[in-house]
Amino acid sequence: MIRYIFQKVVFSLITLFVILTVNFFIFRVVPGNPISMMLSPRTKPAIREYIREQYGVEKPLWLNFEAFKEDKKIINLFDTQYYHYFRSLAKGELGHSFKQKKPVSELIGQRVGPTVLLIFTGEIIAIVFGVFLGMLAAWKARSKIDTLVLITGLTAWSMPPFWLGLILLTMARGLFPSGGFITIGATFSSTIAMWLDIGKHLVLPATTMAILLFGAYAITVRNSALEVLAEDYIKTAKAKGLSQKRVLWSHALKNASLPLVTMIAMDLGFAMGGSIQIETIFSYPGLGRLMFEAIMQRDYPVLQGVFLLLAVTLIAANLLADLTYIILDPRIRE
Amino acid sequence: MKGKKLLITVILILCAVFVFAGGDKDEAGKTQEQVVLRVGGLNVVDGWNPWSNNAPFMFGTPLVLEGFTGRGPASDGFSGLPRMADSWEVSEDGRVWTIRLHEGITFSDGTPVTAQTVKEYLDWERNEPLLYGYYSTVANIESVEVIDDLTFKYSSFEPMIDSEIAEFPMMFILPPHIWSNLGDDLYAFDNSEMIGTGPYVISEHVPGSHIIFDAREDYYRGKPVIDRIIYKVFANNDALVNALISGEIDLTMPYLPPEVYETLGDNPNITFKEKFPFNTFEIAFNMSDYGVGNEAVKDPAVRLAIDQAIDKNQIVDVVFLGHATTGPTNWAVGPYYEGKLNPDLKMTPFDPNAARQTLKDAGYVDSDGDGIREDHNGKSLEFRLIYATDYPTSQTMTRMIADWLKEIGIKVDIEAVDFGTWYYYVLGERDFDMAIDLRISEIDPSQMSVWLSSYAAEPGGINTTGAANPEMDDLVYGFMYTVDEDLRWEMMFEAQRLLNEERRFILLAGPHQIQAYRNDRFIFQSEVTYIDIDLEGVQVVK
Repeated sequence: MIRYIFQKVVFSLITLFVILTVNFFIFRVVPGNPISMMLSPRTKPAIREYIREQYGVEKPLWLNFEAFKEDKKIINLFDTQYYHYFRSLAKGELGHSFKQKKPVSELIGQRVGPTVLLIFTGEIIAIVFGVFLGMLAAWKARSKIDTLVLITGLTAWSMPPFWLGLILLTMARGLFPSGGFITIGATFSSTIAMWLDIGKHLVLPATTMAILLFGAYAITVRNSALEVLAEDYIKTAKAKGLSQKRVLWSHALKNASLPLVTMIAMDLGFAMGGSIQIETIFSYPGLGRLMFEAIMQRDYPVLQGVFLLLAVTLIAANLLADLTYIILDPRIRE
Repeated sequence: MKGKKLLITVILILCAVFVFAGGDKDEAGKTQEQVVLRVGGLNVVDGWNPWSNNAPFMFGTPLVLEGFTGRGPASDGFSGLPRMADSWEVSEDGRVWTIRLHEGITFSDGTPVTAQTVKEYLDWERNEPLLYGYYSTVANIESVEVIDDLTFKYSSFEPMIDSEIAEFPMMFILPPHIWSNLGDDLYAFDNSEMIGTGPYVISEHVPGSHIIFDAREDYYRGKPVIDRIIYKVFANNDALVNALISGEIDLTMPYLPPEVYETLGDNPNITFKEKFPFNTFEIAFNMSDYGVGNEAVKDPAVRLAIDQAIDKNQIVDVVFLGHATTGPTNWAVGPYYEGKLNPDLKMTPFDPNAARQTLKDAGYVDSDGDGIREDHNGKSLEFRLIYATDYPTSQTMTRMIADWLKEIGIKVDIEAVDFGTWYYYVLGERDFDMAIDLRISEIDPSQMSVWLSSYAAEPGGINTTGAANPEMDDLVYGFMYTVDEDLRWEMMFEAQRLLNEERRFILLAGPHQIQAYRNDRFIFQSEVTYIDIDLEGVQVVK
């Protein structure tokens, strides 16, 4: 088992390194110049060049052969954007935003809370409803309930986030805020009052996310549970006279949830991607919006910081899923 | 069964709590006496660096930093309004400006502002190499002299008589302890404290979410009527309009799409303000010597044919539902510029047959029968038309243009890219044939100099077409530096004629600025200005 954990951790670290490298190059391949985007049209061309040098975006990406040729020092070969990027990361620095002039860690810190809250709430609601309805559909296979769950699940799964968000936004006009994370400038009489206000702002985005995720969970759990319910040990449990509820939730759910665990881990990436759209519809100031704004402004340090966080989150979630298997599946322990 | 009921009950209770309770809050942090204006807009507030962020121009200059003058109503020729400067006069030869400051000006941190403070700032700004040429007025200053505590005068290398309108509204000053410590980090300076002489201070800024401006008790012209302005960022127009209907905001920024008239038109609590086009959409042709692209766009006959083949009035009607203006040149578009547009200029009539004839006469014929004309060397009239998806109306415009040009034997390949990529290809690499460009339509010589003159025509420069014409440079700088009014307008009209004749741009349409506000909360009297949140003459209803 220790070997299994060790393998998974090493694999995760290698994956992280590869992602960071891809992450570094992918934004620089996209046409666009962060300094041109940053400066006023009134800025003279010579000053633009100076600023480009100051921000280091003039340095070669990979290896600096020109600097090496000048004085033949090996170290100059690494006077590149890629090397400086990793050196900063090693020091725990994410750099400064080109556009907002603030440390990237500060910007991410401001936005990560709302997004985590959104994803966490959306996921929890989706898991609760997905598992419950999926199990119910499997238990009542080929009944009207099963058909209804399947149709609802497929519809929810295939809904475009933007469309769904706009429908909810229009339907709930006046009931819930049109955007934001909290009532701006408000002073609250208590912490509970503040959280209720945050909750009110969260209802529409979290509902959108939950609807988008729930369909896949319900269908996955249903299909997996159908296989599990045909297993001999379930028949034995039924033959022993256990209640329907106990068979379903204590015996079948554990094995039926294995693919769901993988799916939830994988869905963290989707949830983050989906949150860009959901945050855009509901003007929710989270990481998705930060990422979108940074892409538009070619703000490399912010993009790298956000993608680093995403990569670490995804890899950690996958590692967690692998480790959860140890608990759920005794064969791995052996 | 019991469990299900319990679950449903819990969900319903939670929903009811969120809907009806929503937090025991003091709305927008206001006390009973406070007047709070809640403004919604799509613009992300990127930061407060005075030279490399947009926010200082959007809000910073009028509200926090404050210029020497304010910009007056268009009907009055945008004449300067007193701000930091109480009065100003320019010598007959246009070389010496004498400015008297209002008494009692202080920065928001309490530092007093005198003529000496202004002199020191202007001396630093004009001698700072990293800011060279940022303001034409400042770059033009030869010397600054303090006359008394409140009065200073400066002399300039070249005469300039338009500064009160063109640049004074944007020319702010910073306190000495800020600018003297900037060094080479000028463009990295975050300026989060944003100390200025204006009527407001920034109390809170959460990037991507909102800004709170609070009125200064000690503002030298008296505390403003509105105590607090909250600017809330919306990520799309639907949410913005929704917020206005539900009363979450009181005012929108002036960039609403014309469709809002259908959505909001019947609402008695909402008033619209429709203003002259601030920006105009045009086709920019790649005229650059450094450029990559189909050389045929440099042929005046091709550009004339394209002009003849595009129905600009239909663009106004279809794309902007009639809420736009078109004209023969993107200078002086709209009713507020009456008298400032060369009266001899006429719009090119929409005439596809004339366009076909123009191409035929110039030797472009469809020799292989594929529906696309070729030049003398057999090269097809096939052009790339690039537009930025940041301006969604461009999508419809480009499709209409492609259809019209197909009718006359020109094939158009539309490329939709984000603004960063558009900037890279069009201004950086000069790698395009035609581009949908969006430009300020005002008659401001400093604007004209950055997007029409030769110095900005090299790759990376802001002159979109990359066309370099010394005659145009002379006219632009002549307008900027000439004192005689008649001669100035002669040069302006000649420049407009030349631009119209060259057809480096073809004006498509200038969308009107549509702004809406809740009339049950405020009544805005302002006519038009360049300032988005204009508080002149505002009345508080509730």
